[in-house]
Parts: sequence; structure tokens; C-alpha cells
Amino acid sequence: MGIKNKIYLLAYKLHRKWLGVVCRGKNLAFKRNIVCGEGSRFYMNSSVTNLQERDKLVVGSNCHIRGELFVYPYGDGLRIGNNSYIGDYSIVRSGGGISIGNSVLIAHGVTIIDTDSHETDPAERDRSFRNLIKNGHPKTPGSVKTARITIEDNAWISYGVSILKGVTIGKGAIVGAGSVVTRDVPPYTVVAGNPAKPIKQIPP
Amino acid sequence: MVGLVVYRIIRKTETLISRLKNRYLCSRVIARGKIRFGSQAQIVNAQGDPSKIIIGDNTLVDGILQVFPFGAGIEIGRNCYVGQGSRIWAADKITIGDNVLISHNVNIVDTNSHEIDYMERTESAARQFREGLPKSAGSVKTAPIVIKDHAWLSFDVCVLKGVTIGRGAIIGCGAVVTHDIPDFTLAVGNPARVVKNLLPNENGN
Ligand SMILES: CC(C)(COP(=O)(O)OP(=O)(O)OC[C@H]1O[C@@H](n2cnc3c(N)ncnc32)[C@H](O)[C@@H]1OP(=O)(O)O)[C@@H](O)C(=O)NCCC(=O)NCCS
Repeated sequence: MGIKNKIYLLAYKLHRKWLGVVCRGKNLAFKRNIVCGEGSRFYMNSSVTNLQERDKLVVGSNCHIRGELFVYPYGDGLRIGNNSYIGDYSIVRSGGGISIGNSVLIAHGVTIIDTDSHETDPAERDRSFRNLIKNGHPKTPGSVKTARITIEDNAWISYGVSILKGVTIGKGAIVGAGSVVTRDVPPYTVVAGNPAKPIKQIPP
Repeated sequence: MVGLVVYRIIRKTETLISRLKNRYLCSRVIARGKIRFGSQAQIVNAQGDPSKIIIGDNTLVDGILQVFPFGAGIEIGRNCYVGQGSRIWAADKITIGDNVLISHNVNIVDTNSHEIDYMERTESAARQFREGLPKSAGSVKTAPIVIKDHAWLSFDVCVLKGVTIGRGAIIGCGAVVTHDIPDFTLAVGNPARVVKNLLPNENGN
């Protein structure tokens, strides 16, 4: 490798170091807005938005968050247990209430949203969307449907999965890659497909 | 006015950094000819050894190539494209032929990454958080993936462990491929099923 190339590589590594410093600042800023346990980390691509009081977004200890956490101005907020993982570009948005247990693994590109986000009536949807753009998120869900999502301990959600409102995923369950989960998943069950259907049982 | 100047300076800096990054990425793989990386490209090679990622002439990678601490790595042929946000993760071996088009947000992962047994999974994930990726596959199901010449994978496709995608096959957007797809067929859906033959039959249809 030529000397010139070495200089380029060094410059690039310095740039990476700088990003590391930025990320540390990010961790400090996020933790002011939420309740966060010991040893939890937010990574480079992560983002945290809490539009309610601090205690409506709770992250336990030793969690690793690479994705986006978002709490609307209404609903019961978002609560994550200990030792859980949320991968890159995964989105968790709560307008009803989301609880994620301990040691839950959520891979990359997963979408977990407990609200329809919009009204079903077109005129009403248009009105409230314009209001949202102008004044930000409203203080109440209005006629937007929301329903709690619960993900119990030791569950594993593979990459590219979508989890819709009202779903409970049981203890130790597995959701296969790319699945769309529209109904409850019983404990110790593997589901896959669109819509997700049971494919296997796991011995508890 | 000030905003515009600042914007231009930031753009210039970004171009410079992306050029540096390109050189860095090229130094981490074996390039068989002239290869290019896009602005979103990343290489994560846990084995460090550049020969674990081989890329053919005139191939453009804008996704994420990751090699686990074990396995034979990734081989991509000539004139291929790997789109933004697409991930190719090899714990065993992933072989991609020539002239293969891989759209954005495609996942090609040749391992389950985790154990099916929940206690085993919880323990090994906790170990991974502390010590990084494991040194062997252990009881995690892992099997090589092969994607043959001229195949085309649309956006949001998932390809699971052990799958072979045939020559000239097309995989429709959002499909989850869990079984082999024969040459010159179109497969769609989750789980993916063949819905069309792409070769003209004897009647010329
Ligand atoms: C869910 C999963 C872990 C189960 O793995 P497994 O126990 O080895 O399952 P098998 O491969 O034996 O599949 C059993 C059946 O379910 C189907 N199936 C498996 N995963 C599927 C999926 N994601 N979508 C649709 N169908 C699926 C298979 O086609 C097979 O069907 P068949 O009985 O008709 O042949 C695995 O399929 C999966 O989704 N792996 C991806 C995980 C991953 O890559 N994670 C990386 C980031 S965390």
C-alpha cells in the first residue's frame, strides 16, 4: 500500500473517531428525555423522540438501541425491559402503549406501531394531516385507532418484520424474517409469512 | 445566502469523506477489476482477511456486506448491483454470479443468527453483547446461499439460509424466499412461490 493511500485511510479513521464522539453526545442528550437504566447504549443511527413526560419512555438496563423510539403526545408510552436489543432502522412508535420485555431481540428493519396513525375517513384524515403539518402532533388520538402491543420476555423478532396494533407476542416466541404479524402469537411458537401463521412449536 | 455557502461547504466535505471511505472499503476486499461503492456502502469483515470478500469487475455495491468470524465469506461476480440498505450477511458462504441485480432493502442472510431454543438464545445473545460475535455457528442453523447469473431480486426481498436462486430468475418485491427457485422463473409472495415461467415455451408464448 502506497504512502498516499495510508494517509487517506488515516484521515478516514479520524473521521470515524469524530463520529464516535458525536454519538456519545447523542447518548447524553437522549437520556435527558427518558428514564434509562444502567449500561444501556444508543448507537449511531438511533433516534429518540418523547412527546410526553419523561417517564412515558422507559428503557431498562443493558439495552442496545440502534433504531428509532417514538412516543406520541397521547397513549401509555413505551417501556422496554432489561438486556433487550433493537436493530438498525427498526422503528418502535407508541400512541397507545407498547411494552417490550426482558431479553427481547429485535433485528434490523422491523416496524412496531400500535396506532393506525391516520383516520379512516378521507375528509377527516386530510383535515387532521394538514393540522399535523402546521401545528405538530395533536394532544389526543381523536378517532385514530390505537391498541396496545406487548412483546413478552425472550421473544425474537427477525429482520424486516411488521407488527400491527393490538398484537401480543408470547414469551420465547419467534417471528420469521419478513413476516407481517396481525394476530397474537402464543408463547413458544414460531410464526412466519404474510399474514404470519404458526410453523413450529418450541419446547418451553 | 449564508445558508447556501454552508450547504456547499458541507456537500464538498461529504464528497471528500465519501472518497476516503471508498478507498478504505476497497482496501478491505479483493477487487477483480474496477469496483465501486455507493455512499451508503459498508463492509463489516469480522475475519479481517480481504480474501473473504471477492468482488468482480464493474460491480457497484451500495449496501452492507458482512462476514461473520467464521465461514467462507462472500463472492460477487461481474456487473452486479447491490442497492441501498441491502444486506448480505455470510456466516457460511454466499455466492452471487455475474450480472445479478439486487435492489434496495434486500436481505440475504445465510444463517438464522440465533438459536431456536429460547434459553440458549438468551444466554448467547447476552454473551454477544459483552464479547461481540461468537467464534463458531454452534447450534445456529446456517447453510450456503447461491444466486446464479442474471437473477434479479426486487426491493424488500428476504433470502433465507440454504436457498439457491436460479439463472435469470426474478423475485418480486417483498418476497421471502425459503426454498430454491428454478432457473428462469418468476417467484413472489411470502413464503415465495413460483408464479410464472420466463422461458418461451415450444409454441413461442
Ligand atoms: C423463523 C426461523 C428462525 C425458523 O427457522 P427454522 O426453524 O430453521 O425453520 P425452517 O427453515 O425449518 O422452516 C420451516 C418452514 O417454515 C417456512 N418458513 C421459515 N421461515 C419463514 C419465513 N421467514 N417466512 C415464511 N416462511 C418461512 C419454511 O419455508 C418451512 O416451510 P415448509 O415446512 O413448507 O418447508 C427462520 O426461518 C428465519 O426467519 N430466519 C431468519 C432469521 C435471521 O436471518 N435473522 C438474522 C437477523 S436476527
